[in-house]
Amino acid sequence: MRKRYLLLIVTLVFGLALMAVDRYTQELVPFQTDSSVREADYYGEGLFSRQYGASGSLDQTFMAARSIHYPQEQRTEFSGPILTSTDDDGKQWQVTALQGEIQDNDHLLYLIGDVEIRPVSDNAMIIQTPALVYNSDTRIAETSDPVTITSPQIRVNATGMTMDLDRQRIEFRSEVTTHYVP
Amino acid sequence: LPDDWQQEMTIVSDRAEIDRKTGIGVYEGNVILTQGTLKIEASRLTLIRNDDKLEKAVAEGQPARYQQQMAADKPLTRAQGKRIDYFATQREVRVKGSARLEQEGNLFTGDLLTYDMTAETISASGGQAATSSAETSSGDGETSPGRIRMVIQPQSSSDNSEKAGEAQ
Repeated sequence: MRKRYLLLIVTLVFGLALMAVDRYTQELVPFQTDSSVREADYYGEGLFSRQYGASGSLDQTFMAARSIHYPQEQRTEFSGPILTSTDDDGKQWQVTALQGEIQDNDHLLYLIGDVEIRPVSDNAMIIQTPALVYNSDTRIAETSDPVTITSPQIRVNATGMTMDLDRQRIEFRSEVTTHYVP
Repeated sequence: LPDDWQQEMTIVSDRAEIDRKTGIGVYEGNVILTQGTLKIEASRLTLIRNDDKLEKAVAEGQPARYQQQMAADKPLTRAQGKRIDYFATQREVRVKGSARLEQEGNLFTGDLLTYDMTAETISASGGQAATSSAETSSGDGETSPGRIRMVIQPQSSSDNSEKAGEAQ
């Protein structure tokens, strides 16, 4: 009788030990897959890319100090992205930020940190916001963050903006204060 | 005041759209424009600028309101109507639709009022007689459709004696 009880206790302890080991290994696995997901498959220094329009004229250029691509996430991160685009009148505009991000095969460039839009040739205007999404296909920039526009004669503060770089149209979504200095 | 147009202009609104190529800005939602003593309130304001100078402002509202002090020693001139066109360069204000203009105690109502700040003249027209319901101007006076109404304050006796003294 006593032998049977002894055997039962040993089996119970053995089963509990097995369950503990199983739980421990489960916790380990996600940690391992997490670090492999973050693994980049290429690093770039001094990225420079050009995009031409249907007529063969240079439409946009994109530069970045560093770029890192994560295959599992299908995403590329940029440091110091600089995008230069030409509007309908042939005027060049530059969009800069601290960081940028784009999904593979996507047109939406997410810019984060001290985002600025300004004309290349003069200081006619500068648009500043903390973050911005730029569609390189439609050339429309959008943000829902506070925006400041400064030019020699005009100062605008608003929250949320949509800017059509080609047609040079800017729409402010709310809380708009405009100052015109004669 | 004459130098209002040299002051900084501020426009506060809920939304706005600026077309940098045409220089046209459209402001919507609780729009308030201030520049010196000039103040315009509207639900929609369209600003047309030329070489970075204000050329014309079109205010629409239920009603749109305008006020400005023409001279340091004069009270505010006020106007309201469904649409107010403010021509900055010509220094002219055109008020249309249940138009009402008050200046130095005088009251003008009608369908279309035009105030020339340089010549200091006000012209009023009754517009088309309203075919459907009678259109009456807001405020105390009754204006039957297609008619204008002016209330001119008599000059006070002190003005008259001053004038008489000057004449001798």
